[in-house]
Amino acid sequence: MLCMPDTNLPIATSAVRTIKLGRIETKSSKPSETIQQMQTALNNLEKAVKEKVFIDNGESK
Amino acid sequence: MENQNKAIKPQRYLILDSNIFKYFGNLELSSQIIFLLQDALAKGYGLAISKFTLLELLDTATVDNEIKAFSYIKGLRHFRISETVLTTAGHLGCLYKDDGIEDQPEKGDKIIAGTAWANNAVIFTANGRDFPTPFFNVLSKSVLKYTKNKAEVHMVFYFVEPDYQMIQTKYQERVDEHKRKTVQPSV
Repeated sequence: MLCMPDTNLPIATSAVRTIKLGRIETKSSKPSETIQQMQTALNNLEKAVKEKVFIDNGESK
Repeated sequence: MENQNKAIKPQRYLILDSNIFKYFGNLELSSQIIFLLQDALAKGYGLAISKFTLLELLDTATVDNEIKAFSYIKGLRHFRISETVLTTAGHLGCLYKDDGIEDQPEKGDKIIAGTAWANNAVIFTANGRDFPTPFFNVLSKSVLKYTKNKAEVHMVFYFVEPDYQMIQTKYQERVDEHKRKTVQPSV
């Protein structure tokens, strides 16, 4: 049975902030999708993986 | 209550580096990558790609796979490559050079780095060297295992974010140095 990796990613905090680099100043936008939509997106990604849509880079050989 | 949960929005986006899609082709690694993404989702991250990744996906795909891949990834947030992103990518290259980073990341990695900067996003990558210190901080890393020639191989996958303060400080030093060199001494 495959062991799943340890995860220690911190919990996400609010996204909106103004940042500036040189003459470039930008304000990051608040996400518009919902968590449920993102879950659907991840499910679709998993389907794509199972259907071998993405190219194997040879590492598994 | 269920409707309230449906309306919850992600707090921050996680950009999947293009190399993640290459490892999706490895069945052993892919299930572990999906596991990490599921964990990220549970912690309030939305899933995204830079539109630059579309180029990398097309680069090696058959027509059939192209159609399928684009269909399956359309639910992710696709961050556009704006002038801000490209300018930031260029500035980062200058900072890497000034900092003596000899093995410069490729331009595509800088575009993804610029995309993360512009959108306050975290990058999920299989190559931490593409987002070098001190300009990026590792939030988390996970060791993934797979079998190659009957031997167990370990790969480290990284969650990194731009160090905004460090990048701004280094950039300002660069501008100040330029001013010092160009201002004529008074006589």
